[in-house]
Order: sequence, then C-alpha cells, then structure tokens
Amino acid sequence: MRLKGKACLITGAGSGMGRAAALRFAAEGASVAAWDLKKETVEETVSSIVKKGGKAVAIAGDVSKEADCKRAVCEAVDALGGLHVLYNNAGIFPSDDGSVIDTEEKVWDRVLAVNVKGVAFVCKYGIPELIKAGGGSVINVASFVALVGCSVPQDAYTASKGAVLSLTKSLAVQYGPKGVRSNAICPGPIETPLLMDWLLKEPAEKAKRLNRIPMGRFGKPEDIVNLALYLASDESSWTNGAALVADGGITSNYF
Amino acid sequence: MSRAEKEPQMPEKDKTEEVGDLFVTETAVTIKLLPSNKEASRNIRWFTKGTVTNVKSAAKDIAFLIGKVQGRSKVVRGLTVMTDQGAGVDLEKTGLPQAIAKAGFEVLR
Repeated sequence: MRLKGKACLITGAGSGMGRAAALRFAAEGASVAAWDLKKETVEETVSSIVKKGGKAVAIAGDVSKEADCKRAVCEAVDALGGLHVLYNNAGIFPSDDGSVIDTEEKVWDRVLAVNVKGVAFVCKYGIPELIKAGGGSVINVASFVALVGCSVPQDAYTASKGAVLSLTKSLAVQYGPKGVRSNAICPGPIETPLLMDWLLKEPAEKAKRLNRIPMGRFGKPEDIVNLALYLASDESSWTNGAALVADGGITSNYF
Repeated sequence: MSRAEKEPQMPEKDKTEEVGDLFVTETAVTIKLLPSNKEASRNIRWFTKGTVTNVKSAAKDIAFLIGKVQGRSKVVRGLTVMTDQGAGVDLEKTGLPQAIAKAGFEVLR
C-alpha cells in the first residue's frame, strides 16, 4: 500500500478526478477527507470507502471562502488525526470564459476565486498541519494551458492555472526546508462530463483536438490520479516544485 | 373552439442541456448534473461485486433519478459513469451501459 498511514484532504472529491482520487488513495491505504460544495455529493464516495474498511470523512464547503477552508482543514484534522497530503483538485472552467476581450468581470472574479484563492486558502490552513505532522505533500492541479497558449481561449481559466503553477513553485521553495513538497500536475484535456458532451456534439472539433494529441486519445481520470498517487506517496520524496505534465504529448507537439 | 385554442398558451421555457455524472455503489446510485450541480441519490439493490444484477431495475432507477433532477427545465444529454471500484474499470463488464441505454440515455466516452 503506497499511502498507508497518510491522511489526505482532497478538494472537488464529489465527481470526476477528485472522486477517482479519493477511491484510489483509500485503496492504497490512505485515510481521506473528501471535500466538495455539498456533503451529499461526497457521502456516497465516503460510504463506499468505509464499507471496504477504509477511513474517510465527508466535508462540505466552498474553497473560494477562507472561512470554509479554515473549517474544512479543522474538520479533516479532527476526523483523521492530522494531515499529510493536500490535493487541491477543485476548479472551474465556465462556458462564458472566453477571450480576454469578451470575458466579463464576474467570470474573472469567480474563476480566480475558486481556482486561485481556493488553492491559496487550503494551503494557508493546511500547510501548518503538514508541518505539524512532520512533513507532507501539496498537490495542485494546474493545466497544460499554464504552459502553452491555446487558440480556443478560456483566458480567466488559463490565467488562474498559471497562477496555480507559480504559487506551487513559491510554496516549494518556502516550505521544502520544513519537509513539505509542493508540486503541480498539468493535465491535458481529460474525459470529463462537460468535455465529452461538447465533443460528441461537435465531431469536427473532436477530430481537430485528437489530431493534436500524439497519443491519439483524451486523458482519463486515472491518468491524473496515478500521477497524484505518486506525488502523495513517499516515492516522490525528492520531487519538489515540479510541473508534471500529463497531456499525451500535446505540449511537445509543434505541428 | 377547443379549450387549448381559447386559452393563451404559456410560452415554453427554454430547456438547458446538462450532462450527468453517475456514481454507482452497491447500495446507492447518485447523479450530479453539470453545469448546474443539481443532484439526487437513490438506494439500490442491483449492483453487486461490480456488476448489475438486474438490468430492468437498474434502468428504472436510473430513469427515475434523472427525471427527478432534470425536471422541466433541463435535458440530460448523456452520462459519464464511475463505480465504487474507481476509475479505470471496464464499464462494459459492469452491465451499466446496457442499463443506461435501457433507461434511454447514452454513456459519454
């Protein structure tokens, strides 16, 4: 078991990659605080972990609100007895986020609040707990668009993921000496419900995107979860401040 | 003149298209709609050891649950599916795609 004895807080654990991570981390021996906006969303995940003999707790709250982050970290520590891993997976990419010329202020505010402030607040209250536990791992989900420009713009999202990447490196330098590693995962397009639905409606767009991916397929949640598992485990004990790309080769592809 | 012709008709509300995220465990099925985040759950007895044991019951529960969350204002276009075994499970072997198809929906993949 690669995460035996580790207590992990996972944001956005109510669906997709977050839920997959909660189930996988638990299967690898971790105790899990599964956090999403509504408790009902994560209760089934928690319940299935507990039924298999694991330890998990459901936490509700909005990562964009500092008070919720403070409370969530306290609840996780109380329930799990400490924290070793912060997995900042929650993020949004609203459909009304487009080019900087078209995107309204309210969209910028919401995207930056969830995607950037959310990561910062979880780290603000979570990192001291990791230090108390003798060290740990912060895993932030950035994106491949933090590394390369995208001709189908979602500028608020892109800017937010660039900020997550920069913040990750700053955290790595500040808290590495205290035993806390901070790394970012930069996923390419993953088979999430919204992406799959849109691509089914637009076969030409699907073909255009697949053509840009050397591996010839979109990412699956488990592609990212496997990377997160490595970062959460002691196997990554000398990996700090890294931007780990899992994009099927998109960012290496010139033509 | 029929009643329908006499009375002014309410304009039909535009329906928003949503995608469903289905999560199935041995005891419950949960649906979460995106982007609205509306969700509902139902206790079940037709999913054992990672396999659908009663396709008809499964289809009925899935259809009921989706009907409940989509209401009159939403249309569910398709579903992504995960089980309590996590990601990476071969869905075809679970019997869920058949149940979802029987319920009148499509698995997005």
